[in-house]
Amino acid sequence: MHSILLALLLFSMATFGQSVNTRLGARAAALGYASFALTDEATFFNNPGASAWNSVANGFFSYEVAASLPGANRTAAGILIPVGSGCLGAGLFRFGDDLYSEQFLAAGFSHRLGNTSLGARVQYVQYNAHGYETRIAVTLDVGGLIKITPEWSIGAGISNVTQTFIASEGPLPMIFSAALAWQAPRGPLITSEVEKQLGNPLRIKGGIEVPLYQKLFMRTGFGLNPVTLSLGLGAKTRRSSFDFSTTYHPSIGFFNQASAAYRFGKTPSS
Amino acid sequence: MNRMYLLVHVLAVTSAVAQTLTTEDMLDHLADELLVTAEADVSYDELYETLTHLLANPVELNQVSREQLRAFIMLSESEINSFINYRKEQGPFLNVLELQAIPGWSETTVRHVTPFVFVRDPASRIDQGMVRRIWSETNSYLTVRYERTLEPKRGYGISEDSSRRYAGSPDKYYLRYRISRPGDFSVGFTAEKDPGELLDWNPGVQYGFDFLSGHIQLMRKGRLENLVIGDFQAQFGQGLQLGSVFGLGKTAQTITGIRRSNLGFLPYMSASESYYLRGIAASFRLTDRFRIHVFGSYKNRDASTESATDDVSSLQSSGLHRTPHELQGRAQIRDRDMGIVLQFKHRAVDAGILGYEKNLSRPWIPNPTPYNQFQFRGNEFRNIGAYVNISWSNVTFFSEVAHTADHGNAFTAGLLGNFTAKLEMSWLYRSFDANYFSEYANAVAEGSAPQNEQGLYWGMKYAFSRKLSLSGYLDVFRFPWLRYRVYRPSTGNEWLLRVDYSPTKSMTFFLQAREETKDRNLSADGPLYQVEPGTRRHAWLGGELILSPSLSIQARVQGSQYELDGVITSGMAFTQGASWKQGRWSISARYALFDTDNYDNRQYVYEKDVWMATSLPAYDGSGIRNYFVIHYTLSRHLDCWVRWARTWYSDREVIGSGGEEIAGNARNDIKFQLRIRP
Repeated sequence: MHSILLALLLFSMATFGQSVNTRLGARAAALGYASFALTDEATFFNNPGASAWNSVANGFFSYEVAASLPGANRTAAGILIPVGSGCLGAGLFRFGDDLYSEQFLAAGFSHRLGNTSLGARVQYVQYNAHGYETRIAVTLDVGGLIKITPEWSIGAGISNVTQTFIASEGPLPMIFSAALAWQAPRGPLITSEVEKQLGNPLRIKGGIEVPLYQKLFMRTGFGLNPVTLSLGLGAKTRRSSFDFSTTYHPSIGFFNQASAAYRFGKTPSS
Repeated sequence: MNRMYLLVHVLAVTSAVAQTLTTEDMLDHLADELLVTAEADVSYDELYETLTHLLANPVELNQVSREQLRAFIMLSESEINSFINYRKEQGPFLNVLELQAIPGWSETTVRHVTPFVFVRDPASRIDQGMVRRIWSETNSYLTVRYERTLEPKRGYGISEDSSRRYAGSPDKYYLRYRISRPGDFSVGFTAEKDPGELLDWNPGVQYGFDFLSGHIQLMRKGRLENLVIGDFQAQFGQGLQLGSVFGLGKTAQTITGIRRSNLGFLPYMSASESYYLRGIAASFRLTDRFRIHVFGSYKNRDASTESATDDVSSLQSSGLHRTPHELQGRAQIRDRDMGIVLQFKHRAVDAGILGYEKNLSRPWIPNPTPYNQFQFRGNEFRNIGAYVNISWSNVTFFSEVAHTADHGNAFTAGLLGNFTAKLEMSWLYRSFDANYFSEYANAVAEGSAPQNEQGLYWGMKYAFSRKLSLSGYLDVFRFPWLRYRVYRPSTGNEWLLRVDYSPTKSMTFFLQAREETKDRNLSADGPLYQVEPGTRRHAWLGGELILSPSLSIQARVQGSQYELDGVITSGMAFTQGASWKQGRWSISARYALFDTDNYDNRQYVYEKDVWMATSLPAYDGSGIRNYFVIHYTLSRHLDCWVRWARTWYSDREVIGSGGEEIAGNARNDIKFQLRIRP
């Protein structure tokens, strides 16, 4: 029980309201979650406004465990379906164990307008603590992504724009994010992001992805406030992606995450 | 090139430039850019109001003077020269689109200037009588505004001590009417009741609204070039003696911001209840080269009185009359101001001699403190001075010297201009004695008045290309005598660096950093104060994207750090917003998150507001601020606005203090406005 409360505290990094980090994906994690300007299959869990860049229907699954905190695992699954100039998304998320857990059901839409996409995601969130009544909240996240040039992208968004309150607990955290990414043609990807939540210092994040050999990638990332360091590997075929990441947190130790994505529809032969 | 051919050509290529930037959009851009370096000691409300007026009253391209163009602050000296030369060589403008044909004017310059200028149809030349012209003029508006904070404030409650209780309701009413024709006439009227003030009919004291202001202005009637009856402002030279609220100083406009334009008398339209003159002002043309400007002003002012001596200890400028105490200080002193300016203007030289006298009906004796030893005491003072402005090629020199009889001197001189096609620079030196006085001054200074200061400023702007420019300034100053919260002669410096990047017409980004070091008292244990330098660092990073003609989005991160005596505190704000326009609707909304350690790290963020209103709140503490503004055009004659702003604090259960105190952690402000035009 103690360990899970600690985990909750560290995960959420919030002084009021409580909610774990819902940013997800082993690629994003390996890049230090400097992932607001990325457009991969996990984007539904990172930037709700960037899904529209997925031109192929796909499914995504991710699982994360903390070696020293057995209860603090996170699981998520999502699906993205391109519709016209936009993309519909739906997903499930779960954190915790029988003592404490959080889960949500999410649906979102992202619309693309030229070099820009904007979108929103609605979450129906449930908080369960053993021996207490279940709390429910509905929250709304918004975001956007702009490809200024084929190399440069900017992403920005706000989570919980509705400032949803949980009765007697106070407001759920509202998080502001802005990110800048640079993708060299067939070369490395460099990402950076700032993230701010009330009561916490500004979190600064950065990551680099380097293609090792054809479809094999190596990644590394960091975060400040608190300091975290991440490493990861990824493999990509025409239809599927497999990613793995490990993140070191000074208080919790290592988190390991594995993700997989599968593209259903017609994929551009690459 | 044949004139008509040119025009047709310009019209043909113009559709590409016809980005739908309205005057309001431009004002927002400009205000945001200029106010981003905002400091608390400058009245940005008035600045923005005057800016609004100068810019929202478009100038006629065939009448506009070089000095009026400088007041635009967006144009460089070489762009102004190109304009004047073009008009001289090509004759009168036939259409605003011709601006694109001026050599050296970039697409951006044209886009920035277009909303503020117009060309009058030559067929409508002035041939009717004045009254008829006023009657038939369609350039007029009536604005009615209502504002209120939804949460109850302590000052309105019965639990508040009766001496501090507000007399009136928490509603704010505001009314403004203006009819004008640039270069011909202007008639205007403003009425306001602030929250807590009473709507009262008490002849001799109050006529309905708490604040009333009006003016009648006539221009270009033979030798009478300008006449204002009612409330006005005077702006001459570099503002050492007579300055209007229009003037920027140290801002991101590092070149043009430090020169004051010699605008003469301007009607006063702001609702801020101080710093205007009330009476009559006139400018006469004596010969082609000489003009004389005279004014006389007489008004009542609010003041705090020492009961023992009946002397005035301080003049109040808030204009608030809510509590018995505030009402008691109302109209306690008569203020008479007179001035005369003899102006010589020939080719590139504009020079003048100024005289100014102030007379108060009762002596003003501020309570003595170490720092106000040289402040004005008594009931009258006289100033005399002179200014010289000279333009040469793409460079302009400006200067003013002033002297208070039997007291101190003030001097300021500067130079600015284009030194190469891409490089603009500016310098300004100023030296003000601690015992130089002028109440209506608005000179470029670190302090709020040209007093007790010496300094040297250098500004630069380099345009690498049309997409990328770098600008900055460095200002070094010293204060020979003590200042408020600085009990020793002190020094300081300030610098700013800004990069503007606009890869396409629909994308703009900026990065700005500023650092200022100034001395400050440390809290004292005994009678002696220790003074240490305090350093404030600020950084901003922002961008705006126009996604489609109807949608644009903005994001900004800004932060600050204040270091004093080894203690470092910090603050930041993160904002994201969007604006949407479609048909008759225009909607802007923004979310901001702020988190600051203390008041030294408060974050100023410019917010969109209803037409002709301004909002530059300081985010202090930690919380979330959001607002939306809806503008709906009902018809050509009627516009409506609704604004709702909400601040939620995560670090307090009580907002504000004194009569303004709100029990709770959220504050909601609403605003409604109607604009009626013929």
